[in-house]
Order: sequence, then C-alpha cells, then structure tokens
Amino acid sequence: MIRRFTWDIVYHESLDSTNSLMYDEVSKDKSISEGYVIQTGYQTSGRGQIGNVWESKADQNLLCSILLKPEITVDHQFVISKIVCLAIVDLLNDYDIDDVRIKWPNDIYVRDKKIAGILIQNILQGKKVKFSIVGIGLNLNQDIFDSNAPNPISLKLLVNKKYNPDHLLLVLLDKLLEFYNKLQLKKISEIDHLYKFLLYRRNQRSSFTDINDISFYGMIKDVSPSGQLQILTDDGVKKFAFREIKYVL
Amino acid sequence: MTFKEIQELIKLVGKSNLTEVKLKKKDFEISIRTKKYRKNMQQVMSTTTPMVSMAAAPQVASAPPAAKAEVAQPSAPAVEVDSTANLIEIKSPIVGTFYRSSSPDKPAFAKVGDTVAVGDVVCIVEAMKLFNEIESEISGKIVKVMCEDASPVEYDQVLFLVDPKG
Repeated sequence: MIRRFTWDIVYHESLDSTNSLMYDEVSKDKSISEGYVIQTGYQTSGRGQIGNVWESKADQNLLCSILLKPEITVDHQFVISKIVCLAIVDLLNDYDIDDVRIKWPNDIYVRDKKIAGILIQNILQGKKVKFSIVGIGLNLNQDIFDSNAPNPISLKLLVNKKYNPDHLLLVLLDKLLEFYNKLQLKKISEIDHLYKFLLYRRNQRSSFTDINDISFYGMIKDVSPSGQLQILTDDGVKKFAFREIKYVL
Repeated sequence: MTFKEIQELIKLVGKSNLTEVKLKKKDFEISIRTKKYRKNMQQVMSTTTPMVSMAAAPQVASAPPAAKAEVAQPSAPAVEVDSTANLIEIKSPIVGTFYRSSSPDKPAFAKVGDTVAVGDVVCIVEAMKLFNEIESEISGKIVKVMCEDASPVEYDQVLFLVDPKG
C-alpha cells in the first residue's frame, strides 16, 4: 500500500544546517507530515558525521533535508540509506554521469571522487522509526573546494554545465519517491540487489585498515541486512560496522 | 525566479511521477498539482473501506518475513523494571555507537540528576552512519548513565537507569 503525500518545499537563503532545523521543527510539532522538505542555498555548519562539516558555497549546490515516515522497525533502518543512495545514483545517471557508485555506507562517488553525501537522523519511538530526516548535499556548480575534504567533485566539473538547484531537487524527489514506493511495497530484494551492484569497489581487491589501524586486503562483496560491509579477506568473509573499517583511497 | 524558470519547474513536475509539490521561497509561493493528483484522490475516495481495515492492521499484513517476529510484539518495551531498587532501565534498541550529545561541542541530552519526560531525547545510537535519536518512554530522574560517550553498545544493553519516582 503506497501512502500519498505532498512534497512541501520551504527554501531558506542560509541555515546552520537543514537537518538541525528539520529536527527542531519536528521536535516542536510531532504532527508534521512526511514530504516536508527544507532546502537552503548555503549551510554555515552543514553536518557530515558527528563533528565533521559539509562544505558548500552559496546557491551552488543542492542542500536539503527531507522528512519521511517509513513505518519500519529500527533493525531495518539501513534500507532508508539504501533508497536514498539509489535515488541519487539514478538522478546522476539521468544527467549522463556514468561510473556512479555508492561508497558504503552513504557517500556517492563518481569514479574516485565524492559528489554527494547523506546524513540520516531517525527519531525512534521504542523500536519503531517514527521520523527519518534525510539530509542530502549534492555538489552541483561548485568549481573550487577550499577545505581539505577528500576528493570532491561537482556535476559542473564533470559536464561543464551549470544546473538550477530547484530543478535538481524536483528530479531528486521524483527519484526518491520511486524507491520509497518500492520500500512501501516491500520490494526489498530489488532494493538490495541494486544497492549491491552499485557498491564502490565491489569485487575489486582493495586495501583497507581495521579498527586497530592494521591494513589488509580484501574484496567488498555485499552488505548485511543490518548494513554491515561484507568483505572477502584471506580469512574468509568478515563483516564490518561503520567505524570498524576505513578505505585506503 | 523568472517566468521561464517557473515554466521549467512546471514542465519538470509534469514529466515526473510527483502528484503535488509546494515550493516556498522568500518572495513567492507556488503549488503545482498534476492530473495524477486528482486520480490518486479519486482512488483514495473509492477505496475508503479497505483503507480503514488496512489502518487497523498496518504492518502485519505486508511485513517481509524477516520482520514478522518483530511485528508479533510491536510494543515490546525498551524499559524494564529493576525490582531491587525500583529503577527503570532505558536500553539500546540497536547495535551501534552511543552518543550523549548531538555533537562534541553540545551539552549532553541527559545527565545524572536530570528529569526526563516521555518523548524526551536521551541519547543517540549511531549504526552504519544512521543517527538514531532515542526518546525516553518513561518519565523520571536519571540516576546513572551506564555507557561512556562514543562507546559501542549492544542490542538491549542498558544505557540509563531512571528513578520513576524522581
């Protein structure tokens, strides 16, 4: 059963972080509808993982947070990350960007460069995901990246054309709706398959370091249902949680 | 936004599967509904009865096999009464990393001595880079924080002890 809702987009010229504002608004009004979208032209302290900062110049990139109510239990939460990644890959493919891959757990790479990042915050009620705040930063027209963020790239640097963030947002929401509907229709294996085949460095022998900074070689094969990365090592297949492993780029 | 840009927006929505989009900017607001929107509304109207029965049993009918055990006891509480001291445990609903605040420079959500109400966020448990805000399902006073900030936690591991009379 697919629930219908309206995408309700509110644009702010400048914000600390779209996720923080969304979180505050949801905290104040728990009856807020899914499909609410906060978009900004500039983030003063956009958040990557806890403590990291997502760099973005004014009105050059697509920066937004999308509110969903996925009606899943927290043990299935990783599927939210999957559908968001798939929507972004699909969008980039539509703009003729090939070689788009998902760098587990939730960065989008074009070859060896990062074009988009995702930050998801769930609000739980017991074991149920009550709200999912999906923060997305997609590099569109930015030419110069000042900070030491690793390997950034933008759509413009790839195709030498400028894009309107508002238009890209609509295309993104359309793509996200497509995969969100798959989730609601419980087409989980379809989502899992697509995600698996789009994994960055899948089936390529690559170098990693583990939690003790010890480097090893292995091949990414898949992710587990809970979202752990499964790597075929010389000692067989091992599972890693985020923070237990680093890619050597 | 220019007239041409608005036309472009409308064209984009028309081509998409989106049914209704509202966009609010500093100087204008636009709401676009497609023909699909009306069709969906009609579907909703004509299927009112089955909708109601779906609402009565939202997840059970369509949950994937893996989720069934979970669904059978959906309200399994993450709190348990400690009979010896009459303290209630707040447990982790998931394997992950425990965070006491939303970022290193922010104050902790809940400290010893704080009073929490039902629905208050007490901590974050991160799993595979999804940040889960854990709400308290009970009200009371935090007596003990059972985990170090930024440490790994197991499923059902006790995070806080709460005195419900506090």
